[in-house]
Amino acid sequence: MAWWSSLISALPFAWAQYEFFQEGLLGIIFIASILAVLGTLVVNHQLSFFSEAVGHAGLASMALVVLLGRWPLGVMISFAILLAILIAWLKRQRFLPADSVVGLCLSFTVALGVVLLSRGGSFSKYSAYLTGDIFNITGSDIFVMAILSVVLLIGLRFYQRMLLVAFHQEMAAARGLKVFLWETSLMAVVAVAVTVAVPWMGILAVNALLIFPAAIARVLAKNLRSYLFLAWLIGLSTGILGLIISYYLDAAAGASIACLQAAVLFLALLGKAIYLRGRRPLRTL
Amino acid sequence: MRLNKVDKFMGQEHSWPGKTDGHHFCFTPNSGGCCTKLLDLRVCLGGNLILDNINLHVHCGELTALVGPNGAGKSTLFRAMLGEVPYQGKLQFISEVDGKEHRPKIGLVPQQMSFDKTLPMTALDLLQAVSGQSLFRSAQKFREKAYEILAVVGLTHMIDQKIGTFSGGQLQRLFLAAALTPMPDLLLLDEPVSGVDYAGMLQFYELVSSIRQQFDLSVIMIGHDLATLAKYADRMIFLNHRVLLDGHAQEVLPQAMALMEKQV
Repeated sequence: MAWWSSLISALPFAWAQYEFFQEGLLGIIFIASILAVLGTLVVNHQLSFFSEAVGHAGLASMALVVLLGRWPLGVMISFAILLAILIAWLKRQRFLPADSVVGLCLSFTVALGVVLLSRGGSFSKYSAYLTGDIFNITGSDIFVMAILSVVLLIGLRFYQRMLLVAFHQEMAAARGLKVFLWETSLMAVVAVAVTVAVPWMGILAVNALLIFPAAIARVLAKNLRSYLFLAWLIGLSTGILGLIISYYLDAAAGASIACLQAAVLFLALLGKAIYLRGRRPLRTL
Repeated sequence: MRLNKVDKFMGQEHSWPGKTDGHHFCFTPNSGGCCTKLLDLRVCLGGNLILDNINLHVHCGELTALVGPNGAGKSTLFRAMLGEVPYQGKLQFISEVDGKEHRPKIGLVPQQMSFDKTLPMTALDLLQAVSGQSLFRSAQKFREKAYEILAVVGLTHMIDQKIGTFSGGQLQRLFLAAALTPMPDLLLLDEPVSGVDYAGMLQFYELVSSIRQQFDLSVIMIGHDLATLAKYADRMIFLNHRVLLDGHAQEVLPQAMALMEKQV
């Protein structure tokens, strides 16, 4: 970490001199990269509402950590995986439309979290989870994110299979892919990544870091390779820039990044519309 | 030594034993030396007997039309062959190379072609995905192979086009190309021409017919236009939970049409 500190502090900016910012910057590099790449799969599989539910379920996850008073990472990851499996199983029972199932789980986990955390009128001290605080990230947290990044890199070899499942389930099943298994695995991975990122990005903004980069990449990409690369690049660059903006605005980092990404998406859509309009042939009367 | 065009395409070569070496287990005129067999296949779902006593013998190079009323179990038969629903009985493929039996590699052209049209996936991307090649491996080598298979279905000019912009007929052909990547032992087409106009339907049938001859494929196609199917198919099977008719397409056609009219 000393090498990172000396690298960043060489930059001619006030924020680059602070250790907390240097660590936050390294943390955001990992978090933004992980969420942006995973986000392409979330959007492909139409799991945006699911990932939003998982983010909000972070309240219940935090409540369990507070209740048990130990193994925070283990509790959070276990809760995330169990939630993902539960939602996948409930969806498969087909007693309700899929979005209603996700909505129910979202409502329940939020309510559970609020009940547990608000006991004795003490909810206000946990309100920081709503907005997150990347500058509270420590060296060991960064290490966990680095491990997650390596796992994700290795997992990218399965990207094509995940893509086929998202593209056309019947075609994927005909190729011998166990659709339910692949989807549930993806949901579990997304749930873990989102839950781990909640303390720093905040419950309210974490889903934006998943969805926005993929959405912007979809507007600009010409093929799958560029889609994946652009999503990562956009996630990373807006993550870093949003962090810097949050420093100057003295605002929550996660929300600042989300606002920046929304602005970039708007500009991308506008730019594409202008570009396409310029290429269309003139109408003849 | 006759080279199977598909195996040459996929970088492999093998010889065709020839018609007189005695190693063929099933051989009819115009067919290759391999075949797919369904033996005593039976499917029960939710306590209902969907398929019973299905015995089929499909030869390489043979196009079989599978017809029947709605709810007859045609798509269920395909799903059983793909292993998506449990079944009793046996499905085997007998290779022309060594005469050994194994589970056939199956290519499927599905009935439903709906997908997320905003996905920035090109025809090349789709073929790369179905071939199992990693997104991060060199695209150039695979591009040449993809170009060859797209040439078969007449879509080379669209190799880099996003599939969300494809027309219905182009999607059909692309899905056919995907089903042929890599070349299967058995090609299943589940009502591939639904939602396409008559001219498009004829073009597609012509294409499937030429592909099965070119690559010596066993092909089973589900359809509802019996008269048109019979023009292209070698064989027609009428299914209504059981095989009711099975024979040469033109000979079976009148009885099949009569049976269909009875269902109305």
